[in-house]
Amino acid sequence: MDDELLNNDANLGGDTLNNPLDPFPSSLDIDITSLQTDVVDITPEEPQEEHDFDATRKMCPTRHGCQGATDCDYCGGDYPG
Amino acid sequence: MTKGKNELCDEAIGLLVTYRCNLNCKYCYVHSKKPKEMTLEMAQSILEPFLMKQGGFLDIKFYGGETLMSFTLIKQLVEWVESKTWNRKYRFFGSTNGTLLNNEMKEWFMDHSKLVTMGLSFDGLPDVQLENRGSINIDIDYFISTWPQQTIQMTINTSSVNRMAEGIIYLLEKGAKVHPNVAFEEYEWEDKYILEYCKQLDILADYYSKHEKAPIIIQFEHKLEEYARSLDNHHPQVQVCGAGHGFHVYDVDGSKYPCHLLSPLVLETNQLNMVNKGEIEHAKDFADSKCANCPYTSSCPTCLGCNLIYRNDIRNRDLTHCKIMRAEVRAFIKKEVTRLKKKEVLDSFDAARIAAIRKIYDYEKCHSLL
Repeated sequence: MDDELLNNDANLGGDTLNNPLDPFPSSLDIDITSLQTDVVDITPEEPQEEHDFDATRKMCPTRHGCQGATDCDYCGGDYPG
Repeated sequence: MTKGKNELCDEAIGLLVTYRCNLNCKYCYVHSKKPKEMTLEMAQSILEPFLMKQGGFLDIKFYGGETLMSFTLIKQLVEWVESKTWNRKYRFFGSTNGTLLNNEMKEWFMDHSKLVTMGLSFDGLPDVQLENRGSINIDIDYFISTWPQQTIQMTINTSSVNRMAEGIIYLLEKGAKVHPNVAFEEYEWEDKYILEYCKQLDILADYYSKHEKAPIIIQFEHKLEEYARSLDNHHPQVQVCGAGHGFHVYDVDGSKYPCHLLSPLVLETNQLNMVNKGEIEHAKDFADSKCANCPYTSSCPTCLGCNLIYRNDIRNRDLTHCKIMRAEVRAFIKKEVTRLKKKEVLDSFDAARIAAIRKIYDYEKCHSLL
């Protein structure tokens, strides 16, 4: 593991602009602008509250694989029932 | 909590049924698999007061070790619970590596599949599974057919990230729902692995554009509108899991801990002392100062247990999962732009999404991922 970084605060790096390796295509900018033009006359409306979910589906955004057993605010359970 | 949520899950507890495991997975956070088991009497004495309480659903989760090493206990406990009348509904869940599942177990689980769900951990492609976990002697199709709504837990680490997309697609094509997640480990990922993760997400986005009905993976589920709002009005950093607050795990001797990671299964004496002093239960501040301006904290994949284990502080979040999260948001934005461009008619929800995409894009453009 010599070539890996120790997982702690000491390795925090500052954000930098325009990193050539940064995998976020600037061409996307044009597409987003085009979409913005397409909806310029439409009043934005956000979907219902986040808890309006499909009851059979796991909706845990914490992504660490709790498998839906905990009663946290983010977990909708994932049981077939 | 909403009404819907209360109906789904009112209270959850975990039972650490065994410390033993028959595998030795590369990324496992349990380093000493002691021969400790929970007895049936102990499990009954823990469950009884919970089941006697009035309330909504009680979720009972089996933890290990490998839970199927305690199949006899699980079977006896479930049948004991079934044989009595209680004051609330309940259901059981266990995760398993699936390697010990035999015909007797298959038959029993089939008979109890509405009451007991077993979630399989399987790392995608069979050869990746073999390399990470050391065994491919698993009847994946049984899990998919018995519990079709249950996701297969697919763990990704640096040695398997270059085959992540292939592995996810392999499982999706078998008819499984997949929950891919990046292992929490002691060392941060180097940039080359983060870049590989980005590449794999692009492959998956392309797959989903051609297979629109395939069950979506969590990597492509993001509340962009919420993130965009957070840029204007930053959300406080709250606890992102139920450990110690609404959820507890009971050790083989009946002792209570905030979760299985924050228990003697994983922790050494010093850290265990912190937990025993109520470090989690009494904690009110879950903020990490380096995340003060992050728009994604409401969905941050941080793990209190791993923060304590690897950085000695439940608040000290790791950077790998931060980069992983941002890579996913970026991939999701690309996927959403592609989807929206294809639509013939855009509606008000689309307009809100496009506005959010613009804000998040501008934020990401000014903050390097690496």
